[in-house]
Amino acid sequence: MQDASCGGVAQLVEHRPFKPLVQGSSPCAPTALLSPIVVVHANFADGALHIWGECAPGSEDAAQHSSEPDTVATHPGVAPPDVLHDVMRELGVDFGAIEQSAIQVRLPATGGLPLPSPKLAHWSGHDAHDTVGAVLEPWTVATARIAPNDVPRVLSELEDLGRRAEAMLFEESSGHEREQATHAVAGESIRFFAVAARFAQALLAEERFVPTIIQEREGPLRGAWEPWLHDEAIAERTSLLLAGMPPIARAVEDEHAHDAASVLHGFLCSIVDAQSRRALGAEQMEEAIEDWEVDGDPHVGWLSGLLGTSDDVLAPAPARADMVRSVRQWLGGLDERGGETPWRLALRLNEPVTAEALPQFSDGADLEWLLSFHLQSLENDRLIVDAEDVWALRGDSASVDGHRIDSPQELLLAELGRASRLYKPLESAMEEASPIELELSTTKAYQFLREVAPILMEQGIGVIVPEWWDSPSARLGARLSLSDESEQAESGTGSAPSGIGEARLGLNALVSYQWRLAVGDSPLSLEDFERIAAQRAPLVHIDGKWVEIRREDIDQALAFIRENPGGEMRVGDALRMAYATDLGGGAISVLGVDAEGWVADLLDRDAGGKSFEMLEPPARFHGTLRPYQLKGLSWLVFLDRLGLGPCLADDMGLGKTIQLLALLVHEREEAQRAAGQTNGEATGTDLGIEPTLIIVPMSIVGNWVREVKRFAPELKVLVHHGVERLQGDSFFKTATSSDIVVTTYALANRDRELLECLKWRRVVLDEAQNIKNPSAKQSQAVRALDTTRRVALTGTPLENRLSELWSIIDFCNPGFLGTAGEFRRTFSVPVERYRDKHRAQQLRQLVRPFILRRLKTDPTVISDLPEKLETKEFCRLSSEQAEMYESCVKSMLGEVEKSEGIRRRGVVLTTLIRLKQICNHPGLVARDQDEAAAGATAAAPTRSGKCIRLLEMLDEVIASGDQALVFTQFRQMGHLLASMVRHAFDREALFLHGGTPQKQREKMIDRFQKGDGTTPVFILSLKAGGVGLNLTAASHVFHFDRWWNPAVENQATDRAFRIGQTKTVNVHKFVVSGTLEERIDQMIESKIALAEDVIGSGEDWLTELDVTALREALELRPDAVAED
Amino acid sequence: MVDPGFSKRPAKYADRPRRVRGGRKLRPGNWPERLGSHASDLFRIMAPLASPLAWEEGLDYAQRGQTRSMQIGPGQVSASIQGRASRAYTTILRFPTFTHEQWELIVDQALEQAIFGAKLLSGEIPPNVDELFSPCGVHLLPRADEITGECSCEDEERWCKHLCCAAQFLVDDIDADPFLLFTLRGMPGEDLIERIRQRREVMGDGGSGPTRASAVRRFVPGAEAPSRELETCVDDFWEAGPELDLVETPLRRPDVPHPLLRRLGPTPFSEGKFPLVGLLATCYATISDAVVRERS
Repeated sequence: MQDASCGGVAQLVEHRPFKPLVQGSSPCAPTALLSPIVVVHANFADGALHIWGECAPGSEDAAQHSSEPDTVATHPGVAPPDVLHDVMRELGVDFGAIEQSAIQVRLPATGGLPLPSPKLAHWSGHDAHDTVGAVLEPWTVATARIAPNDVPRVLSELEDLGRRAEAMLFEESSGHEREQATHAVAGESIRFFAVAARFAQALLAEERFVPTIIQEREGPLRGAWEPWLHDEAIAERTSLLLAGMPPIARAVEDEHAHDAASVLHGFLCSIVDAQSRRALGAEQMEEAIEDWEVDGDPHVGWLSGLLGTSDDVLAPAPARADMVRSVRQWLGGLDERGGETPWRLALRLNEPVTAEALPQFSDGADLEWLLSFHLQSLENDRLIVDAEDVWALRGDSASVDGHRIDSPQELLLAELGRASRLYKPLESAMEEASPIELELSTTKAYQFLREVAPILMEQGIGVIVPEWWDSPSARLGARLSLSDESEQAESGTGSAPSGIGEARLGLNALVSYQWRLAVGDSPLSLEDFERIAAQRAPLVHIDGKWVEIRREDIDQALAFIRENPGGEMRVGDALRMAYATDLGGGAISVLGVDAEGWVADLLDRDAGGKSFEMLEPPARFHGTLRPYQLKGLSWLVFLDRLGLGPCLADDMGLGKTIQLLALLVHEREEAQRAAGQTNGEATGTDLGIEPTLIIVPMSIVGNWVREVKRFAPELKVLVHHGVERLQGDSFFKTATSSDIVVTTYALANRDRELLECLKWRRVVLDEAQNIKNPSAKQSQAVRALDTTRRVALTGTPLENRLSELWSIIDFCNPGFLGTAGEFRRTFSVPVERYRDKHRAQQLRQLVRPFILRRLKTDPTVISDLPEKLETKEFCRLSSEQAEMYESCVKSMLGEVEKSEGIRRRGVVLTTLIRLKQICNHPGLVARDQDEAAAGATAAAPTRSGKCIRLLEMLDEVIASGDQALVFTQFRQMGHLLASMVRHAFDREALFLHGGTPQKQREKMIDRFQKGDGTTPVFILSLKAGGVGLNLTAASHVFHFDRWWNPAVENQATDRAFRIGQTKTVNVHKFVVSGTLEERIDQMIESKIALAEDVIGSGEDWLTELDVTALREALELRPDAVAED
Repeated sequence: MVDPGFSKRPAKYADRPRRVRGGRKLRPGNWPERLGSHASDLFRIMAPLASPLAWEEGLDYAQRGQTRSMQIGPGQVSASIQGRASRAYTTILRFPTFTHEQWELIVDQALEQAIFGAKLLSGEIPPNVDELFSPCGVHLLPRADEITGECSCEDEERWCKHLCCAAQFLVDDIDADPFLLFTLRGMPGEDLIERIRQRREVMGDGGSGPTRASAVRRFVPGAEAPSRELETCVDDFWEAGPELDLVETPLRRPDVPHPLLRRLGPTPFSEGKFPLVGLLATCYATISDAVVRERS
């Protein structure tokens, strides 16, 4: 597939040679892509959707201005439609039968050339162009005109381009290079029209469309199906769609005159008409009128233009105007909402009043319901006047609670007349002179509630129905009772199976279950139910209230109860059933779950009352667990005992690592207690606990080791990483005698045979989003590891990335969410594509027992948190960095030996700067050496350990909707970071440095403080950004490199931490292990070195050291390099 | 109410017409001086048709309120007028109507000169309205010889006082609503306006507007204000608004089948024989089904 797509693009390139735009003045060319890019756009013109591909024009390829001055210039960077068609086909997008066409669009241009769209600029490796001075100019654009019936499919395939490209490329690295293989991306206009097309389909499903008749300047009338957008039910979605339209979508020069509503309406009409005709054609609906005479029957004439592919309405010329008028008046009836008065008719359905209480299960056969008539104020719908009072009024107008009614009696009559068109029985009431109500039998009352009331309400007539109507408490359904009283439960007390034994069945644990028929919360015996069923009445009086009994509910309920009498099932199945994802469409409604024992704990984690047991902090854990961390630990232990795989998804900075380490310590203490030992080292090997394998991104291996040493120093850690990592027997030996083995995702795959040979106590994934692509090799490798306990840690909000959610939950609890394909069909597509709230809710309930996510802003958490949380991020060097670092130190030491005095000082100071730059990114120093070679990949984040880590962390920050400040000492680094952020997240990064003019500073600050998510990252040079700014919209502060003086860092941190800050600020200080930076860090940390005289002098003291001391201070230590 | 035909009348009232309770009377004011131009033109055309005496008696009847009811329809005015006899007379005035083709031409004319369309749409009859009709060789106001009348009374006079009475009311009504002249000529005023509106929509303003017009009035919620000038959108030209992410598009069948059809009620065409609404109901179900099936 990938090769094929390259071929296609090559074809495209051949036609219009791809040349990168003139390299921007920015010294840090981003991850330039060597393959050409086409950005696909869509426009609606002359009644059809046009697709066109924008690619980069050659630099000398000026716009093809025609010699004739009046004609519109041809856009110089548009792919020929047939080539685009072929390229798309190779990428899995089938345009269907296209027609080559051309449209004229107004596009931003400067200097007689159209500006590339931001996506094109971005994906072809250029900074976004400044739009200053750009004006709109008309351009002729070659397009592929899509057949109307193909439009929804083509749009959704185009929308999927990104996903397709990703799926084609199972790359194993951190994912920041995924764009390498993407050759086509969809512009926002594609997304807009795709959503609009789905909206049109939703209108069709909801039957919100009408047949109409179209009059043209001349010729016959045309039949058409059009969306009906006039009703309130549709208004909100239409307004959103309209407001979301990107300007490009209305850039065509045509009769829509760039009017958003006109373009949207035209597009919706085209989809609605095409899809309707296709559906009718498939059923040969046209045959219905085949044998009917057209002459004199306008019905047949009109239908002839509606049912088939032809839209000709067969009608003699003289009759046409009448026909249009009739249809117009008919459809106009939908808009008929009464006069211009602030009052309307309201009909209230009153339950029968009986002298004695109704018997249980009464079907109300001989009872009369009253539909009473009222006038209702539109300004205050609680203001209601009874018809009786209306008739009693004297005079032309009356005043009710300060609201004036003009001609109330005429109004009531007119309104009743309006309502009677929709509900015929009202006509009989109107035979009286002063009607006040209508009597209805129970069956009629039911019909009124079910069929008539919604129609009346749509037409603007007030309907007041009894409270119980349409409420879940008055609906027949089933409740699921679950309890752990199955034979396998270890203890009869209803608590979770405890201990470290292996009776852990996870999702396969059996629970006893029983289905109970119920009305709302009240259970119903089968006999009672059968009695009700036998009555065949739509409304039945049960426990003092009326309940709707739908025929289909009864049949389904009976069938369901017969098939599911109760018994035992696996807890995983029970959960799926409880949240109705397995019952299939149209099945009985599940009214709720009543659980007991640990199942209840599992289901109501946060609900008050009894929940899982809160543990004591483990004694051997070094450090204090905050209350929410203790709760996290208790929850981890709870799920762990049940054999279920937890996913701890706390916000970044809340201490997921700590909670996990506490779990390991706790489990050793428990085992020790069980073994009757009261003292001594609690290491796993002594207790027969296998090692836990922790898989982490390469960039945080060092962090983990540090955290273990700090919080759980008794645990033995083996780092399986680097070229010198253990293999074979020595690995097994060391690993089995360790508590923890830390390795990376890359090695989990590369050394999978080695890792698979061991039985692991538990496998932990940190930054578990790394396995989001389930078909990637590393994802498969971690799933294959031999263990019964799985834990995932992640800080990204999973609900926004459903495929990631599936991957992680499927790792923790294999099979629980079904296969990836099933999950995509059941949840990802409905939720992400169609915004199906119901499905999203189901999914939330389903995964809720397995995910614990606390936000820094949660009230229960925030009270536990200090205002500022400071952490160090220990990073490593890439091998390129390490090589440069070593040679730099070496050459410096050589120089230093040969020189003295000021020159010597100069050498040392220059070297210090250079070493810091190398730690940041090799591009900062390699630039002058080999610029040509560096050009393409100069800014690749993968060349720097710090950059990799920063982007990983920013990904979480942005995904959580937070904002961050990034401080660096080096302006060049700032440029580099800005460009990396742009490319990694497709968002602009603000960068403020010493050279930024005051005006621009203010603009940047305003944009950032607005906090609308468009510029979530603000990069500042430490000196320029250190003072005088107020940037409280940030809740994360990154110090990308260290400064000798912590006061300067703190001052910078305070930008985000000022009056007005309501969130906890996370401060992340980046340090490269084993380098000068770590030495600086240690110095700052050590109390002695904090002495003002040393710190105050900055780096000067280093220059005074002798060669041995310098070497000692600067040389690279072995743990600095991140090798794989 | 007691039928006056069965009541015995005192002799002194024998030469007077019977009193009608709630009968129509001419609107107050100097007659005919208060009439506007179109009504007074019609008055001048019709008055000479009858003898001065009959015309005066007709006016007397009109002022006394002898008219039980009166309707103005295409080509005719029918009235029920109470005389001395026990039963009211049925009185009909007839006017020639224009043909369909003539009306088409008239609409054409109204569109060619913007002033006509504009005046008519605002509910006024333009002063030089006859220019609309002259190309067809007709006039809006009927000629005297085009008007005929018949009455169920036994008067020998062709234009009896009852016809004259109806004529006075016609003039009075047209004075109140000059558009009744169009009704009289075969096309109710609102229909004429409707046609002009339809045709204008199709033609557009100066030909630049849409070339098609649907029977559905276009309405897009959220479009109360016109969209932002494209020229001011350079900065975010290629970007969709955040609202786009909020549009819900799951497919749901309606709670009640074909809700719009239920609200629309019976067919708009009285002469249609094919069961239109029934078939449309099937169409709705078919279309909705197909879309839902395709997505799932």
